[in-house]
Amino acid sequence: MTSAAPQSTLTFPRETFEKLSPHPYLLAHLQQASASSPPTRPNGRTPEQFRTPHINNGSLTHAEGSAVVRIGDTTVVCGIRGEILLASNVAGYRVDKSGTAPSTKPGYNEAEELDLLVPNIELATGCSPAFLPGQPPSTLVQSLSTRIYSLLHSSSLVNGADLRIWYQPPDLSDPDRMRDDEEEDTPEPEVKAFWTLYVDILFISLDGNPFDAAWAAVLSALKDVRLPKAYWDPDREMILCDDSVAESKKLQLNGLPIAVTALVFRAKEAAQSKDKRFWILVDPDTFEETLCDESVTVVVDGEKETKILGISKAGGTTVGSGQMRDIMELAAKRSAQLSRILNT
Amino acid sequence: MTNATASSAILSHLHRADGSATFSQNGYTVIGAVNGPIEVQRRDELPVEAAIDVIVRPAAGVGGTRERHLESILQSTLRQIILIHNFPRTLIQVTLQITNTPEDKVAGSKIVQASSHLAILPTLLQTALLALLSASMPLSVIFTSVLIAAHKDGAITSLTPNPSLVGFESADSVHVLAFTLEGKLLLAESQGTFTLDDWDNILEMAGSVCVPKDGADIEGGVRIEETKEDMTTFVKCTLEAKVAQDLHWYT
Amino acid sequence: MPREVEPSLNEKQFFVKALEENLRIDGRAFDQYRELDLEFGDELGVTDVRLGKTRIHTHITAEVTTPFPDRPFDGLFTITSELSPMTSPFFEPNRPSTTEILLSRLLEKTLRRSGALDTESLCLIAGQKCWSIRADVHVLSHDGNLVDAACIGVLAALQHFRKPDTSTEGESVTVYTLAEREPVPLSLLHFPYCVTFSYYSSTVEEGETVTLLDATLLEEQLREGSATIGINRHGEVCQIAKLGGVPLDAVAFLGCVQIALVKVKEISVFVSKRLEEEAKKRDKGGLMAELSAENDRVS
Repeated sequence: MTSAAPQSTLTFPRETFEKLSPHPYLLAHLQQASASSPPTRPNGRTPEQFRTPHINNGSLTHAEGSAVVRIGDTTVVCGIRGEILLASNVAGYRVDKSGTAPSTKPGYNEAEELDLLVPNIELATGCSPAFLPGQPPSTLVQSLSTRIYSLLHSSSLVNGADLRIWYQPPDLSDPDRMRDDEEEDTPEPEVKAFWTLYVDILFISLDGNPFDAAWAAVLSALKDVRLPKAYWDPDREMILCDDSVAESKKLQLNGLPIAVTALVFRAKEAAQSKDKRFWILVDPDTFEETLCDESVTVVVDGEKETKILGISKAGGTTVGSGQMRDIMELAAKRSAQLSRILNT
Repeated sequence: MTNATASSAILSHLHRADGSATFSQNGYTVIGAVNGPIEVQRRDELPVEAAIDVIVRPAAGVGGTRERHLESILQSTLRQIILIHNFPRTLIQVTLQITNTPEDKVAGSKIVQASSHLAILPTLLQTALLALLSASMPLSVIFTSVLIAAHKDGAITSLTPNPSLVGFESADSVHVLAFTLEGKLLLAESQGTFTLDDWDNILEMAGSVCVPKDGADIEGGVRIEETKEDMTTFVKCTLEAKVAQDLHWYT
Repeated sequence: MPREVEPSLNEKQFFVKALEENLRIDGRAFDQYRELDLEFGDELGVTDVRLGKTRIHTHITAEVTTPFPDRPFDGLFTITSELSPMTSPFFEPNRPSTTEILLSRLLEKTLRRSGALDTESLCLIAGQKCWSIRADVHVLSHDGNLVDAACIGVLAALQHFRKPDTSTEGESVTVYTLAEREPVPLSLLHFPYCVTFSYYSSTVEEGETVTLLDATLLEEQLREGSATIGINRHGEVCQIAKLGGVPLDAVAFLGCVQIALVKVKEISVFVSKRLEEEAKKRDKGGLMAELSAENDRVS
């Protein structure tokens, strides 16, 4: 305009830049890389750097198992409650085990068929400014709970046998007659009830990467579960639980799957642009999540050699076979780190 | 009754929607309708792009968390192919109604809600694409998708594209992959136990099912036999037939 | 969300002018239905009804559940209908419109409260286990007269449906899969179909009311009154719904019931014919083939 305004470059403080134009802000951070220093994200981490996890088990006294997991500013509480489901109350339950019953077909999953694992997620009001009180469950919550549910079943993490409550009917036949008639076996034990595990997941605060945190919490809480010894009392015709801790049992978990999420940040927002540079950001926070379309979540179990239990990738075309290998390597590292913490 | 694995499609058969398609594959049938760009509600309005609303409705019962999850996968995928920046502050609405799921002869009497969401995903994706094409929605690229089941037998892993229901349920791992026309991986959803090498094989196989091999001539009106298992060709043939039908007066 | 577009003045005048000349826009007679088509899905209990451009997909499912404590001997029968944005973008998901509420109310009255399905036959163990039959009505395309079409769809689907066979032994129920035992049909007591009449009075000459059957969407938007009569082919009226609108002569209305009876008889014949054809088609590789194979061996 007038000469009063000299050619001053337009400058803002960091926070204003971040609010005004978030995409160039993140891009500017990642582009700063020189030969000596790797690119750094606004939160001070390198693209391949995860946040340090903190896990605390058994903090809820009334739950059968619980865990609090903190990854950066994302904090999740998971409590697992066991309830008894009588076999006679299951509407479609079949006692006979003939060769044609549904339970004999391949791929039959009792826990899934009878809904013995019930995850429920709540994103508490106040865990993030995006959640207002009194709203119906958001798409994010419903989507997360489906993912947790299907991973719980597809990984067959919980052993179906651990959830059955058996009853061995006493042998009432005359012992003398037994000797004559060898073919008559002792009565077959029958399943009287099932344990149903209600997995409640509550987000206390959310700063990105909800799935990894929620899954870590579920895993840690499941490791913490102690189910009391339950038995069928034929006189009272009900299931009773034993008080003694010594009789209670832990669950036998199949493996230790760890979920790892990474986002792809593209240098240009428009899909058709020439600038094809991209960065893979692992363990993203909320700010990064709003700027990236493409996300990859892998679930790995690194017990022996790395087994993959799930891949879900959507929202873009950047990640192909090669990038997937890189992400797998990072996931394996993360898996080793988390399992160390989980196993202590 | 009908051939279980063969795909079939009908385009633009609903008279009030802007675009519609019915697509059957593998025993699943989905009817899709697209409306848009239409006026958007204030709270969903986006300043520089079109909002995309995907609604998945099950054949029986009301939609639950599984449907919401499918909707969010579809939404993030369709966002990549629709030219959303051309229609700022509008809404593009995609409704997908599942009408047929394969009959399970050996299942119990439970209304199937718990079953995996992956089996239906390719059919939903393909129906959405055909409905968008039928609505003449500007797209940046088209995609095709496939469901693959992997069975482990010792050290050998056998792969079946578009498995039957039994094949799907007994599989060690199941995979849904979608590729763009250029052969880029757009979507991958895998479940079960597998290794990275398995996944590479699956990727290769899925690519061969979805995308025509290099040099395959699908342009120039060359009619490729229906038996050829290549989803891109299927989509093109369906569209060609539709265009030919619409322009039958034009010679 | 955009609002439904109302018919323009031109359309309105054209329609009225035609009515005065005893014509409908699509050339039908006043009491003529559009072409009715009924198709069955691969699964049992799936129907696809087309009435002109109106298209309705119905899906029946059965599940074992616990009966309501106050009705321990009755099974459950529910009908749900929802109009999705597929029908027209003016319908919002999860927010029922008037059309939708009316549709579910009328279906409920005609089919459930008239006792078309014998709910007592659905009981397995009194107070503990019963069948729950659920009919999902999906409107795919809306060009008027949803109620009549939906009613045909649900009744045809109920007749087409087979529920899994069961056996009861004391307190335990075994539900057999489709592979183990042939499923059994539902027990239906009667078949009440709906016939909807649309009335126009002020548009035409004084004192005269024009009555149309099977109105299209445009005709529905312009009508001044309507009545839906649910009646079975034996002439038993199950429900009558006339929700406001133009006043009608009582005797003339009785005439409407007579017309409804004639139409319902036609519809019943059509549905049973289609069901028979479908049964034959299904039987091709099934029982008939088995029987013939046995005969071969004997001879």
